[in-house]
Order: sequence, then structure tokens, then C-alpha cells
Amino acid sequence: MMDAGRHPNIEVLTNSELTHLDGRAGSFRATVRKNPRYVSEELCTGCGLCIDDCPVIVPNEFEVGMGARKAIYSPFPQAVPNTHIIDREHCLNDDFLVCNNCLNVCDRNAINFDDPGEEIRLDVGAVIVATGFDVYNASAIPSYGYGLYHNVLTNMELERLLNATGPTRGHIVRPSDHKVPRKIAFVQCVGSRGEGREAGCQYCSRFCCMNAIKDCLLVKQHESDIEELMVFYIDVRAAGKGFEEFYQRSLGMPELKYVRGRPSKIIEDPQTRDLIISVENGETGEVSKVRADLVVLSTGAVAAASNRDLAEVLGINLDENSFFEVEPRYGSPLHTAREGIYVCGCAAGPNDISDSVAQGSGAAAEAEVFTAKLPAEEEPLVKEELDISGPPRVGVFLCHCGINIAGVLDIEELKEVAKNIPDVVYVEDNLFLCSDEGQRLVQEKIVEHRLNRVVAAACTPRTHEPIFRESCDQVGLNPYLFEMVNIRDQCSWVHTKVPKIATKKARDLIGMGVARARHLQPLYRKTIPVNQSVLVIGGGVAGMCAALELEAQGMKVYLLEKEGRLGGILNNLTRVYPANLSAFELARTMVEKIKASRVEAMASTEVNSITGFVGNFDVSTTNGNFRVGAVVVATGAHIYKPQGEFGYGRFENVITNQELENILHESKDGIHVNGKTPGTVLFIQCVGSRDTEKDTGCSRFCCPTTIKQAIRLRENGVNVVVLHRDVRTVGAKAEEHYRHARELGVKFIRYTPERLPHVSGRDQRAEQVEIRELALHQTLEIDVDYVVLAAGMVPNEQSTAKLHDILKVPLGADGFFMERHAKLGPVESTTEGVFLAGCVSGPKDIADSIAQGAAAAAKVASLISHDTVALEPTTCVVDQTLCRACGRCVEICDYHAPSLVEVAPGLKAAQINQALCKGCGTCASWCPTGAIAAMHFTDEQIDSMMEALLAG
Amino acid sequence: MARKNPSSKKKAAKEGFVPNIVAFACNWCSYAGADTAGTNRVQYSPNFRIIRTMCSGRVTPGFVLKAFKLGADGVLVSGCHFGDCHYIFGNYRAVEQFDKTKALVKTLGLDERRVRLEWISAAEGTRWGEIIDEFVAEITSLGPSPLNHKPKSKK
Amino acid sequence: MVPKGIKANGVLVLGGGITGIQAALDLASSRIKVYLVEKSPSLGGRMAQLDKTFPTMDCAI
Repeated sequence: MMDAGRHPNIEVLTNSELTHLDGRAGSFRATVRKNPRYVSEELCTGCGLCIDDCPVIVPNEFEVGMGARKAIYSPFPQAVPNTHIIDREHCLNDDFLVCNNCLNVCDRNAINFDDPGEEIRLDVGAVIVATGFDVYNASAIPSYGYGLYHNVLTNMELERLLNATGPTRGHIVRPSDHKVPRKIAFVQCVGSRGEGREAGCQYCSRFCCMNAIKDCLLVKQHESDIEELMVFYIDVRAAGKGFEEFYQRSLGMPELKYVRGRPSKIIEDPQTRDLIISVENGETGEVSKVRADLVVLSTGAVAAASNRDLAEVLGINLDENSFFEVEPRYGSPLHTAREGIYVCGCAAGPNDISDSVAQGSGAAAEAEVFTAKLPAEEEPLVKEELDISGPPRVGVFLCHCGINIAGVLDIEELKEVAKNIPDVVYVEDNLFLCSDEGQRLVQEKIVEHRLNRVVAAACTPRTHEPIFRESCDQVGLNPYLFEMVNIRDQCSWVHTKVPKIATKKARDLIGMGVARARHLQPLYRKTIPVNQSVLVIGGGVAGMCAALELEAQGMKVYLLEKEGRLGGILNNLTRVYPANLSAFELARTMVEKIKASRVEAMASTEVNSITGFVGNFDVSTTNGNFRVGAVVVATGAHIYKPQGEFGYGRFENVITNQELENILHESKDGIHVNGKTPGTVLFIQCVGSRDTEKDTGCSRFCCPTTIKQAIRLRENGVNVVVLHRDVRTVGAKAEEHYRHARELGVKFIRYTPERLPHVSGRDQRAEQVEIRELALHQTLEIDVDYVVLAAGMVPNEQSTAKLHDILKVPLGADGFFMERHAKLGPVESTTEGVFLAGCVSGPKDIADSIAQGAAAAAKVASLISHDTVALEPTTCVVDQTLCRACGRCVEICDYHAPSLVEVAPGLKAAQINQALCKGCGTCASWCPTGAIAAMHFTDEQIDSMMEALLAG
Repeated sequence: MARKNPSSKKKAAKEGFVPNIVAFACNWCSYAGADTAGTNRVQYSPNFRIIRTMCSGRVTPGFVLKAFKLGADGVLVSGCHFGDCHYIFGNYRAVEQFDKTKALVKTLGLDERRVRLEWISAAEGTRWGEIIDEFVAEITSLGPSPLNHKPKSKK
Repeated sequence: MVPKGIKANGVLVLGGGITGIQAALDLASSRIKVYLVEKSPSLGGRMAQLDKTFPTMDCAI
């Protein structure tokens, strides 16, 4: 968020709407109406004086009405931009009174009540629609009493209560009496998966299950007195990477109880304000009334109310749920019917964060095809560097992080201590140092107090160091003169119950940080050229998509496929849900596009080795060698091969989804066994998935796949029974298909891992399946002609192991490649210049794989559209006067960065290639003469920290 | 306050000895693991101070000896699991360095349990907490380092 | 298909939530001018309202 506000190529237009669009892809003309803020973005400093003086108090939308704000306000503490805004609906100046308090108090004359707003005309090549969703209005279900009963909240309201900066400072209290509730009930699918005459939408909102589980864990952390947490649910849809594991973890929480069943009614006890929930337990069939102190309604996502107008402006359609309609032809979730307009995130339907992020990147890749690039940036203006000569002048900045730090540590004490550390000339604290305002404070003080070293005691450098470094850089202080002290993640969060000892620890850490800062030296980034071609490994749907996007942007692409032909898993499918596209057609279209393009596709080719570094990878394959600037890994995954479960291998009519797909593929009209249609086909879900012992998560695609096949069979007159653990039909139209299957008469019966279905038969044929029916308390015996196992997805161990060795991308516990960040970096790896797309990082369906392919292309483009890439200067350097040329460094470096060179006739010394050096510092620790310095982690810097800690 | 903390603290409080422990943590795995402990709100002993290095292979015997010379009672070196090192084999180098460190520590007449090498990944927040608790308890039971002559003003 | 010659200088991104921001940042770092249009007074969208995100429990902002 901060980054978007700062990027020179991004113009942020808040309080603005698109009012008109004409033209076509590549040359759209857009009109944007910028509604008046009544406060100038240029002049306002966000100081807040006007807010203090404003007499009007209104409910705060950001706190979903639970907190209050003034008529002039800032939406939330870290808002970008942090310019205030006047809410004219509530401002007194628009009533009979003229108050003018804000106008009078503002020193910078930033307030202008006559602000007319602005019409802006823009020429653009493409439009990306990422307008998100609205939260379902829970008061539309009168039987749940939202808005009527005090202690019925929505999940969004709970989020704000949990937040340290929220209206209750992170305390969970009942609105009626401000007491901590002992029993909290979560009601799932409020407004989602609607049945019959109930209000709400028919689809699944996808994220509410995981959100409720997360909230349960957080609630317990915030209020340890909570005795019981109940979740009333239909299916627990933990379908996403790491989600199942997260759900399993929650099962170990003694307070947390999952109850299968959708409450029919909630009523309030007028005396206690407790709530009585009527629910029929879906497993036992028992109807009960449950008392809770607080009810949280898991409200789903609905299409934004503004979609209708926006669709009209954009000239595209909405689907039956009023989300933006996706053009199904491409199998991609990003395309609309109008070329040049792309949709991503929740604008097209509910999505979770990582999928939204991948789609955002994917849409960017699509848009790039129609857009001209800005001229290559000139050498960045050499900023006037601040004079840092003389003794260190250290500024120490302490962050409260709301109450995350200040709620535990004694900030005043830390300030006092910091002031007395040698060379510290300035100390300041701030509610959120990472906010625009906090960063500006740091910048101002650097200039004002001629600081030449800056220490921030805040969260972790792993996430926030870049922000601080950039702020330093902007005012001319070398970014490597900044030091970050972690007093949140490694202090206030983990020693919460011992605030005094934690404060003592923070004192030491700040002392160590200042000591290190005093020894920091300015470092300068070097640049290396970037090769303008790309290697895509894997010719499946994700790989082909990435290759096509990159080629469309004018890059040289090498596409490698191990098998004899492109297409990957598409070659084994018949139809692709949700639009029932022909897999064969989709594969053919993509392969033909590849053939018609300049993509150099190489089938039956494998990678032997990849050496080099970002921008310059030397690739050796079984089909020739070449050099590329970036690598996309899209080698996919394997379908799990059942290991004898449910008679697989023993009975010939026990098959997998995949094998059924092959049968369906071959038979044009339904399914035949020895020439006749089978009577009953029984599916068993979660085979090889959701196995806590093997660390396997939910494979996500098998529920929709089974339903797709079940519908096809049922339509051909076959009896279909599906044995499942939870029906996880997340994703576009999946819930609707599930409903359709039930309407067609497909039977769904739940089983638990404790009581697995039993398949019996003779003569290599399965004949009967025995299953304990939970609701009816009886064991059912079902005669079957076919048993289909929904085999999940497992990592392709052979290829991941090999690529792990070659590329150094870490593997997770589940055996899939690990992303840079599960939410925010779904297609990036931890190795610079190496990207991941599709099932190689975890199970995905075709649409998600396509989105990831496009997303990886966007990431590659943002690297390769520059001629050079900046190298981190935190490498190792040799003082050749101290080097004895013993060669130890050359021996131990796995990147071959050091080498011995002749520095004078007959005299050798080590030299380190800065582009190859990764800065681990191991050679520095092995050098017997101390000739090698690990920049930014020098002996002197590390020693100084120990001295400050132990000798101080 | 201190008594609320894990069992290790009880003994420490009784003896009035709070050890000085330096923990070297590699940036990619162990330091990240300590952050994960934070995100998961794992509560563990505060009696250690982290020094971040890019790789566990960066930690020389010299650093460890210096820590003891300055009055540390224990030193932990922590890196990525084998095969997970961000720098391929940096943690193997760390093992070689650590063997030298251990030998030197023994020569100084210190109990070799005062130094420890661990592998903690970015995901293992809970394990980070457990290992710190365990190490703090061990150093507490070993008592102050014999090289630590300074009278302690720290509490 | 659009003739390759016509290419305007910029992309309009509607929506300043996590998805729109991601798209904008990717475009911007590929040297493309982005107009990021948000209806409300500030960027951030829904995610800014969340406390933590599953399953890594990272801070949402």
C-alpha cells in the first residue's frame, strides 16, 4: 500500500470514479471524476489539528460503525494518502451554522470548502477492474437478529475489535455490557450458499471458513478467559495452500468446537442479552438450543453495488450474481468480453488474498500487451548526498505499532535509555513509524538534526527495512546507514506477560543496534545488464500461458517440456469446469498459439544445469545451451497414485478420477462398461489428501472434478453416490454445480477419517461399499459397479528435487515449492529471477494455473523490462594487501565468486566477483588473515554489538 | 513477573542468576523463525539477545570466544536445516566452524554445553521458543561462566 | 486483434485494494504509467480492515 503511494509511475487518484470510457484496446479514452476532498493533497500534512477542533462526531465506516470519527477525518492511521477529508454530509458548515473551526486552525490553508473536484481525461491502453466486493448485509436475514440484538456482530466487526488500533484497542467485549464474552458462536455461510427461500446468494464466498478459524485462534489469544468457541458450519472449506494444516491445528484447541449445522433462528434473552441459537445438528439430527454470550455472523461477499453503473461505463456484462462476467472462451479468469479490459480479485467473484494477488499480477501481464512502455529511465538523478563526515550522530526512532509494542514495553523508559547512549543526538517515538507521517518524521529529523546514522526500534527488518531505507535514501542519507532493531516480533510479542523483563531486553537490543549503527558504512548499489530472454520450464497450461504472455510483450522465450508434446494435464482431461470447455480444444488453441508465435518450444527436453544469477542465467539442456535473464518454473504436479486404499489395485473397477476421465474421454456418449451403462458409481473423496500424518493438504480441485463427472454420469442415467469429508466447492460456479448435482439426484454422504468406507467384492471386482451414515445412525450397504477415488495432487518429487538442487528454491513440508510469501508473493520464489507458476507450488485448478502463468509473466516483465538490475552491495570484498592467496575462499564458495588473480607480477591475491557473491559472509569467517570483509556484517559491526550488550 | 515464565525461570529466580546468552541467527531461516514465533505469539524465555548474520557460516570461532571473553554465559548459533540453506552449503561450513569453536571453548576450560548449534527453519516459530527455553534452562543450571568475573548489576 | 502499432501510454486500474495495488505495482515496475483510481478517500480496501491474515497470521497492512 505504501509502495503504491510512492511509486513514481503510479498516479493515485482517490475519491475518484470512472465516468466514461470509449475507444478500444490500445487506445481507450477515459474520463475520471475526482470528487472533492475539500482538503488539498499538496498542502495537508496530516497533522490532525483540524480533527481535534472539529465538533462533529459521527460513526466511523472503517470501524464498521463501532468507533467514532469527526466530520473532518483521516480514514485510518496508515491511510495513503494521509490527507484528511471533509464529510460534507455531516459538516456543520452545510447546516445553518458556520463553524469553520478546521479552516481557522489549519496553518497551511489546506482547506477549501469551494473545492469543485476535477474531471480528468486519460489515454490508456488497457483497463484493469479490481473493484472488489461488498460485504453481505446481515440484517437481510431477520431470523439472525443482526441489528436488532446487541450481541450479534459480523465478522468484519469482529476484525476491528481484534485490531490493536480498533475501537476497543484489541479487546473482545460484548457491545451490551462491555464484558468479555465466555462463549462465542460463529455462524458460517451467512448470505452465502443460500437454500430455498432463505435470503442470500447461492455461491460460496470462499474465504469465510478460513477467516472464522483465524478469528477463533486470535480471539483466544486476545482473551484467554474465553471458555468456548463454537463454529456452526455446513462444510469446512479449507481449500488453499496451507489452509487444511491451519484447520487441523485449530482442531487441537480445547475451547473450539465445530458443529455441523446451519442455525435456523437466533433469539436474545432480554434480561442477560445472551443469545439462544436453535440448530439441528447435521450429524446427529438432534435439534438443540445453544446459549452464547456473543454471536459472530460470517457474512460473505456480494457484488459491489457500484458494479452495475461501472459495467455500463465499461461496456461489459455482469453475471447472474452481478459480479463482472468473465469471458469463458480463454479458460482464463481474467478476460472480459471486451478486449483490453481485464478483471481480477473479488470483482469477478469471491477470491482469497493469494489468488487475488496472483490475478492482479496476471491482469497486469494482459494489460501490458496493449500498452507502450515509458522510456527507459535515465540514470537516477544523483541526489545530493548528505554530509556524513565527522563522528556518528545517531537518531533513534521508537515505534508503538499501535499497542503491539507500546502495550507491552515501556516506551518512555526506552526513550530515556536511548538518549543516554553515546553518539545518540535525537530520540523520538511514533504511533506507527511505517505510516506516511512516521516516515516523514524520520526524514525531517535526519535533515534537521544532521543525523548520519538512523536506528528504528520497531518490527522486523525482514518486512520493513526496505521502507525505512528508501525514506533515508530520499533525503540523501545512504540507505545502509540505517539499522533496524526488532522489538516487536522478537520482543513485545513473545514476552507479553513479562513487560519489565521485555523492556529490559528492548533496552539491550536498542543499545546493540546503536552500537552497530555507529560502525555502519555507506554502500552503493552496482548495476549489471539483464538478458532479455526467459526460460519457462514446463509446457502445461501455466507454462504455456506464461510463455505466450511474455512473447506478446516482445521477449525471447524458451519453453521446455519433458514429455513429447505440450499440454500437460490438459491432454488427460475431457472437460474443464466451470464453463465446461473442451480440454482438448483449450490445449489445441494454446499449442497452436505457441506454434504460431516466436516462442521457442522444445519438447522432450530437460534441464541439465542452470548457473549464474538474476539477469544472467546460463542454461544447459538436453537440447542445447542458452542464456536467459529469468526462469519460470511451471513443472506442475502429479496426481496421487492410490496405494491400495479402498481396494485400488485389487479390484479392477476401483479407479481414480483421472482414470474415469480417460474412460469419459474415449466414450462419446456417457460411460460404458462392457457395452452397457453402469447402474451405480460411487465416488470416495480425499484419497491422498488431507492426511495429517503425511502432511498433505486439501488438493482443492478434486471436489469440483468429482461433481463435474457426477453430473455427466447422472445425466446419462447413472446412480451416483459421493462419499465426502466436506464438499469443498470453492471457486467460480463450483457451488452452483454442487447444487445442480444434488438437484439431479446425486447423493452426498459424509464420512469421517475415523470411520472410512469399506469396499468389498470378489474376483477382482468391487461389489459393495459399506458406510456408516452419521445422521441416520445406521450402516448403509451400497451395491456398486464402479468406485471412483478422488485422488489428490502430490508434488512431482523427481522434478522438484532436481530443480530444488539446480535453482536453490526451498521446498515446503508438503513437498511443493515454497513461495516468497504465501499471500503477497504467490508466484515469486526466494531466489531472485526465479518464478513459480501453477501446481508446482501447490494444487490448483486450470483457471488458477492460467492466472498464475500470467502473473509469473508480469513478474518476469517487471524484471526484464529494465536493461540493468541493481546488485545488493552487501557482498564480500577482499583487502588484497592482507590476502596471502591461500585460496581457502575459492575452495569453500559454492557460487564460485572468489578467484585468485595476479595483482602484480608474480603476486596473487583473491578477488570476489560482485555479481556472483550472495553476501553470506562464509568466506569472511574462513579467511585466516582477515582480508575479507562481509559488507554490512563486518567483524567490527558484530563485535560492537557484543560489546554493547556484555561490556556495557 | 518472572515467575509466570517457563519452568527454567523458577530455578533462575531462586538462585538469582539470569544468564547472558548471545544467539547468532541466520537471516533466512532462524531469524525468520524467531519472527514466526512472534507472529504466532509463542511465549518463551526473554534471557537471550539475537545477533543477525546473513548465514550461520558467517559465525567465526572468534565471535563466540569474544562473547565469552566479554562475559557471556552461553552462545547459540542457529541456521537453516541441511538442504535448506539459502547459500546452499553455508550451514555445512557452520558445522566445521562450530567444531573448531567447541575445541577452543574446551581449551578455555569452559563446559562445552555452553555453546550450541541448532537448525531452525522460518516456519518453526514454536521450535525456536522451545530451543531458547531449553538452552536458557541449561545455562542457568550450569551457572555463571567461570570467565565471567564482572559483578552483575543486571537483574 | 488490435493493430500492434496502437499502444497508449498507460493503464487504468480501477480499485485500490490489494488486487488493484498488486496490478499497479507490477505494471509500474515494468515501466508502465498507471492511474490507480479508488472510489473511497484512501487506498487499502478490505484488507486494511483485517487484523491478521490466514494461514501465516501476518499483519494485514
